[in-house]
Amino acid sequence: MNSFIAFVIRTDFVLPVSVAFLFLTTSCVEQELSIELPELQEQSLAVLAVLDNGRPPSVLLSGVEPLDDEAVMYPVDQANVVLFEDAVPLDTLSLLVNTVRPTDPLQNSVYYSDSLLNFREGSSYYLRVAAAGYRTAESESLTFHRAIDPDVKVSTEITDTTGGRAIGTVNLVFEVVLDRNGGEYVIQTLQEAKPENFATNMWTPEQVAAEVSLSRVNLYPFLLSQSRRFFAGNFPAGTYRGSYESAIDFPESQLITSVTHYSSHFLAFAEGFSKQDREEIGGLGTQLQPLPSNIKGGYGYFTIRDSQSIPLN
Amino acid sequence: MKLFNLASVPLSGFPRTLVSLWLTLVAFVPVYTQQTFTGRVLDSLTREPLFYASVGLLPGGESVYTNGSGEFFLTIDSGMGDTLAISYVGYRPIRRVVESFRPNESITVLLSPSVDLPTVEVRVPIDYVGNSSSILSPRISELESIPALLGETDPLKGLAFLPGISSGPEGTAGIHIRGGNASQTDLLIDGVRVFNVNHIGGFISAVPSFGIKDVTVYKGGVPARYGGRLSGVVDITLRAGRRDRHVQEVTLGTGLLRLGAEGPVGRKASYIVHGRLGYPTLLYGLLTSGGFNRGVSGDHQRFSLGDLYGKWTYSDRGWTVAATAFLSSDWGLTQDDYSTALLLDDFRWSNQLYAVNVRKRISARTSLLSTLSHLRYGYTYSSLEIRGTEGANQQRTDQTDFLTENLAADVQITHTVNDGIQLSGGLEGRRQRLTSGFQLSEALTDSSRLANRYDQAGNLLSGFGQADFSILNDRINLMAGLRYAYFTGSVQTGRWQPRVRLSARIVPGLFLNAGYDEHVQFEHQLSTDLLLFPNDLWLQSDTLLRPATARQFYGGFGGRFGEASRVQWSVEVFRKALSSLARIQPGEEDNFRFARDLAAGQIATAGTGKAEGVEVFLRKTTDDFQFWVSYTLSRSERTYTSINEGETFPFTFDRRHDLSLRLSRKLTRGWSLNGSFVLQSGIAFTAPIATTASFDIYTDFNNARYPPFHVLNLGASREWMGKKRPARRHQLTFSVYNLYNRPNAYSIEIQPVRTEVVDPDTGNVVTTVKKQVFTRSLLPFVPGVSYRTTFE
Repeated sequence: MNSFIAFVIRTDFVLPVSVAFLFLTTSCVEQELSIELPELQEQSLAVLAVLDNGRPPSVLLSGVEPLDDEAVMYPVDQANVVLFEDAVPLDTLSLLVNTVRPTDPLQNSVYYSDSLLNFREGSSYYLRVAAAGYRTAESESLTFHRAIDPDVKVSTEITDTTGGRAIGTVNLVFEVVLDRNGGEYVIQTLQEAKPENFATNMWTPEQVAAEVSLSRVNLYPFLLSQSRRFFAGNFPAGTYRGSYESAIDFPESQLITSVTHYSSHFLAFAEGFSKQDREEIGGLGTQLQPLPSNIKGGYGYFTIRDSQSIPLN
Repeated sequence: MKLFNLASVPLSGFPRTLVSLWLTLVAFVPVYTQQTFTGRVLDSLTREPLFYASVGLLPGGESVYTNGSGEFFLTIDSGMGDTLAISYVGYRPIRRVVESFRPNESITVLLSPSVDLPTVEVRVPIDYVGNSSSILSPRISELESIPALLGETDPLKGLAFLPGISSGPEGTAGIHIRGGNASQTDLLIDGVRVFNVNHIGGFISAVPSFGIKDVTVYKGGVPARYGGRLSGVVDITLRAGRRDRHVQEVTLGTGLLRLGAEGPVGRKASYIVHGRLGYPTLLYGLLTSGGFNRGVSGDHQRFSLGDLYGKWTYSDRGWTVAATAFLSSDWGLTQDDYSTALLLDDFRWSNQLYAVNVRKRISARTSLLSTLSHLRYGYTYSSLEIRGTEGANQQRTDQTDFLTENLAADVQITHTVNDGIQLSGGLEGRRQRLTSGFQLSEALTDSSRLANRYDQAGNLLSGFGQADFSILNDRINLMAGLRYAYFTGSVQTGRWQPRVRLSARIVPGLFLNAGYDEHVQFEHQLSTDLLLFPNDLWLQSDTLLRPATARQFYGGFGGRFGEASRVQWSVEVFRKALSSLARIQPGEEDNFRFARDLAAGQIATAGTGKAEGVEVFLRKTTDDFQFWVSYTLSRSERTYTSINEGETFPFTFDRRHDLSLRLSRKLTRGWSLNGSFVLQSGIAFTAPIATTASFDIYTDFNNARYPPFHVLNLGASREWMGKKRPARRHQLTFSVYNLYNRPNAYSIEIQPVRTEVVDPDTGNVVTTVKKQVFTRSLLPFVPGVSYRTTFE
């Protein structure tokens, strides 16, 4: 051993050995992996559509790309998106063009209509999405039932105020119009955009207006906010009360409390959707199962909901 | 009568009852003698029994092996031989003329190590215990010679080089036996079950290699005295201190500082105490703590680990009493002081094990072993976040913790009827408490805004009986055992567990063996997330989580050949069926949410499993050369109605191929070279088959595999004696982990890779995106060195 060390020192091996040593001890970080997966037989679409009674409809549309696709292009800009009421076309949605940001290969296409939805009690609704080169995606037909009386009452009691931040107790009183069996009532606190939220020195008034318009499309309808509260089970018609704590961090924003009834199937989709870590897929941590879907010929979810919203502040 | 009404005994009263019961059983020693020729084989330095020592008659007479208490039973007829030969690997053999003993005398044979090692190294042969390749007892010296991280020795990791045993990926803990989970392996230290013996997530085990007397691994053919886990048993016995002189030891390694001492206490007792401390990170933390004020200001990181092992052993007039304490812990914190916020994360986990073992040789044929033990294992993670300045702070704290406390007492009696029949039986009582919780406090109030705790307590009473038959001069061995375990907690339930093991030596150098085992496990481990630190949650059986059971058939053959029978081989097949398994529902692994919202829907229950495989083992040992190669071809699957739409899927730790090699070569001038190589199929994980802009599309569970895991480790060590002080001995060890820098995957990530190109037709910049899958690895080429000196 001693002679070996002496040999290394005598010769010019010191530098390359040191470099190799440093390289080996620091280079082991990451490596590209090829995973053998079944090939997709046909190009299909992913549809996310949560349509609110009394609001304009919007649909998020994406192509389904194999994991090993060399050039990902999710947006599908030439689709025909039609909402049906009792098997009759009710509205055709058109592509919402984002004038602020250029098309991003990783973003959804947004289809939008200015018409306010006015669902009819007992009518059925479904969505059909067709695009050249893709299988036609068609949702299951859903029947609309009013879940809640529009006259929701909300009061707030601020229990802590510090550093411009308020911790408040939100008290809710809402009326269930008809008996509801199953599913859950979900109460969420949402922040509604105002033009001043988007005002920057870089943007023109037109760009701000476009961004505000886009922000009114719920791009994340399946992400259930942290402040949600659930009331699960069967709900005979009557008056229900609930309360919860909420942090009020942005007094400049319009905070809205919404009360919505969801089916258990939808909530299973939404929960699974929220849990997806789209970066770390391996490891022994969170492992995922297929998301529930009610889209035939594609993936995703379509639902219609009766949601009542009230300003909180 | 309280014995059968444990559930109704309040917690505070139960320990006292258990201790009283134990003392009663120990004190009630039936004293009687038999006129038989029996004896014990002990280590001359520590007075510890030597398991599987050979005792034979010369010339040409039969030979027997000592049992776990070092005892043997031999019938001598006139004309069979006149000399008794006692031998054991690593010890000087002894011969005694039979006439020197009185008829029916019980003798004690003291064997001395063949080399007067400063630190006693008891060498148990890797012989197939009971001619079964499902039971292995590797030499500690062989396990220690397998290079580990940072120049350390890690016998527990070395077990993964045996057939049918594997470990998880780097950075995870646990020993997986025959397709089972790590939580289904019964890891015993001096007879006490431990829940976690791994430092920093399993890179280094907390089992003190310097203190191990022997390790026996039961993959099948598990004796009836063991129970409580589904897949197998790793029984580690810590050694006693020397009786002849005091020896101290200091070891300074790349990562650990180790101190030890052992020696006699009077004429009848000895002590041994050893401790390890991870000093580099601790020193770094202390040196950089100048501006650190905990929870107030300053950036700071601190992490360390340590363990402490002590044993006091007393022997007199057939009594041996040993008191063991084993403590291990990891602890650390990270504080980041930003201009507008202070973040502090704090963690600690620890094992505290205390045991008293009493062994009494009642008569030449009968011995009693009893253990009283207490284990406390738990972890705590807490984080503090303070935002704001100038008296307008907002504070958020959360804490997750887990704790289990186990008080257990058992008594076992072994009686040798004659040289062909041995009977054993025993009782065990265990009281276990499990608590876990999550607490979140936000804003400036002291009240808990969000909290959830659970607390479980249960009692387990077990009993067993076993008969071991040796037929046709030990050519055929039969073990027939029956164990019953009764659990009272949220539910009351009991299970019978039959065990049978049969082996036959067909011709010299060739044996056949087969067996059947049943096991029950009343505790379920729910792995909440993969972290470098333990964060598993254990739950007792209740109406939702039924006791998990396992049934296993196995069979095979093996033997020895070559010069002096130095080549050992075996081939064995097994098939195992598991039922009533539980695991956390996929997607619910986020441990914070899990602790907060523990609910039935988050746990997949009533699962079943199947594991089957074939194991091949070849080993050659000479005085200066050792070689192992083991290969396991196996498959392990699970089925849950709530996972994968009820379809069977591969178990996460299913390793279809598992090849391990180990080489050790002694050179001149005290040098020895060691090498090990592992090649395994990658573990299973769930990969999306496609992606969209908003979500990924998953189909089958565990549908993909990590890349194969392989690693080559080398070590070289030299031992020498001091020239001026011969009583001092030195050992210098160099090691390299992952010699060729294989980036073995620890985690797998998807990252979008953007490329911007100019369209030649339009001149516009076009962005193309490819989703690339990366593996991230943890341990690169890691050199290590350690220096050890022992002195008297």
